Amino acid sequence: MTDDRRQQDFAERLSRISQERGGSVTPDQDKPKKDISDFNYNMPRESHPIRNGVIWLLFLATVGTGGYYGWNALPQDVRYSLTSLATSGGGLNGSGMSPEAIPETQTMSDQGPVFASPRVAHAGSDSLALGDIVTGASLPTNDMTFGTITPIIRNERCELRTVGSAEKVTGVRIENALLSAPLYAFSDQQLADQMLENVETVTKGAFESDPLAGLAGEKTSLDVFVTDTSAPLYLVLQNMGPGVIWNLQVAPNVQIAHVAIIGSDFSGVTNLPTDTTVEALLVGDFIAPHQYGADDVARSCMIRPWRMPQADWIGSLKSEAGSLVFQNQLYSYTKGFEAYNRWFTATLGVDAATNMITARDAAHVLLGPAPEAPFAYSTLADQDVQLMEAEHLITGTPAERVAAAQRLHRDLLTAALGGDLAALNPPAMERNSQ
Amino acid sequence: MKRGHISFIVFLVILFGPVIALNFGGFNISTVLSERATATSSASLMPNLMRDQATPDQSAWLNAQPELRGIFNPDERTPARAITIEEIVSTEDLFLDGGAIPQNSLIALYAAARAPARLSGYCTEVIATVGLSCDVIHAETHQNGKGDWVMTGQLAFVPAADLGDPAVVTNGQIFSTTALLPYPGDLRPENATASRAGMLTQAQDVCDTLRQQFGNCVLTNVTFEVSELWITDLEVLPAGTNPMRVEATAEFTVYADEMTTDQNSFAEQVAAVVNPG
Repeated sequence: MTDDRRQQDFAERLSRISQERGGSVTPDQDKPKKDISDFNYNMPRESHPIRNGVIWLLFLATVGTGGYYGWNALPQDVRYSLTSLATSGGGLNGSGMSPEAIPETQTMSDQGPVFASPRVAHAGSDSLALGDIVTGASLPTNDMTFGTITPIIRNERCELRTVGSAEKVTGVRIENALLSAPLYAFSDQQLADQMLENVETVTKGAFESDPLAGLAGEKTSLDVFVTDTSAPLYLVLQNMGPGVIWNLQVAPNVQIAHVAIIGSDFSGVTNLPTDTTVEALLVGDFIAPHQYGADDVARSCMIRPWRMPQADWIGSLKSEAGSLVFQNQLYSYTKGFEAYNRWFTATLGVDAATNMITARDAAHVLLGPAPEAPFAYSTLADQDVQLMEAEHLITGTPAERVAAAQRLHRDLLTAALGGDLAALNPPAMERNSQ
Repeated sequence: MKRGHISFIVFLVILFGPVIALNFGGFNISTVLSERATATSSASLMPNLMRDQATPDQSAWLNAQPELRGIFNPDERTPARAITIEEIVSTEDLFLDGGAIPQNSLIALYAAARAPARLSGYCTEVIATVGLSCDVIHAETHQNGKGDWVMTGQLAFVPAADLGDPAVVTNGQIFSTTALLPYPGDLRPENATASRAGMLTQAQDVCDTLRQQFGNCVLTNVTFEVSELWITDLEVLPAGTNPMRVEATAEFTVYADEMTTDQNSFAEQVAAVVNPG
């Protein structure tokens, strides 16, 4: 840069010319070189502290202002995500992190593990995949059909069949099943509740949204692989979310004596072995829909199947990190489980955590050891289903199902509006139109 | 001009150009993102308005002021300007216009579904007084302790009155305050069209007076609170007296010089206008 050879050559030539003319100008090689510009050769470089200061000040002010307005222009959720990313650092132990910075993962949610297909939930700590259990798996699709649907008459009393002395109680307790089950089953009350929710979504601000967008009663399914041959089994299949079709997949030599379904929504079972009895408790038949804190206190017939919080739940980490929301939520889960366990233990004689696979969401569950050799998968398609009796049951092709469900919803909404669907979103009034 | 100076100017243009365009120019990203809920009124495009439409300059200035845009935009219905209304309906009255009363489990749905149409009826009072156009932007329903249905709604409106020009204000800051609108006598007025329309006009008159003082004023909210007279009150009143009563609280907003106005002084000025003498 400043020791450009051309500059030095030019200076030496000047010096020689000066000496030849009798001058005394000699470049002083010992003196430190002057700082000179690249562009104006041999001109001394001026420092311009004020000008440079102003430039830097303007630059920083511009970047700051632009950054501030740009940041505020981002939607709130994007800002939250960016903040979380910036502060998360990738750790999941929660130590030293703010609750907001602890993210859920694909396999662990705030409310417990998530076992999406092909992962299989089971009692061990090793990872099992669907291919380790069965061969020829053909998962349910939205356009599959069912065989005969037989109603299960729900228990009128808050009781279950007594466990036989030789029987072993085992089962599954989840919130949501992750496989599809293409049918709708719902009550009049669920239809009304769904329509009320849809209407409130519209009238509380989203006037352009479709009041028929949400349909009640869509079911889900889950594979239950049973390999436990240690005793005749008393299966207790429990969930708190949308109704589940429990697809039993029984390995050779397994004996299932009885199946008890406890569900917050209309649920059913397929592939039930011959001679296996089945009964069902619908939570809503005995206790009111859950409201925050309602299950914190003991109540009779508390059959809402809560799960006991575990230390590895993301919600537990957030709770430890100081989140009051999650501290309250985990308190409710704990109290809810204690109340449920009281009923469960009194009814079945074993603790609700015994021999139980729990998860928030799951697609496949294994009850028993992993099989030495995978056995054949039993698909849900065309299977006969035993399903809790509901006031409305809709099957058929996807288009037929949606059309039938929408017709029911539309009829109810039209009646609620007094005959005109447009009354839900009346037009604006203009002064000139009066 | 030296090359260094030209480079410096080019540098400043490159640096400031995008910032000015994005933040202070017509794009105004913040505003675009946050005002999805607004709607332009066709009435605001009609020629025979009581007040002028926003000029392009005023619109550009407002677009650059996100905090003012919802309040002072004269042509759109925005959530920043709304009339809050309330109607208490018995289950029987909900079905006066025909149709059988459904089973109990459905009444909440029927009440919620019918609320927007019932509440939009109040728009006739709004466009007869303070608005050029009016629309229900929020409606919700709950059951009170007596078993009646309380419908609450927000009606966004395009103001009929001139809002003034906030662009001329130096050191501008938004000042808002609420005031209970006075009514004659001890008893609240009956909850009737004439009472409510009178209250809307009363609120607008206050705003008009404030505009003379501050150069601008927006009636940003009028909340009607409905209550029912006690039996002991009714005993001393003529038979057939409407037991449903109403009172209104109005919110006034101005954009004023913060060097000469503060929140307390503004509230005092509003109180003086609302309750003269």
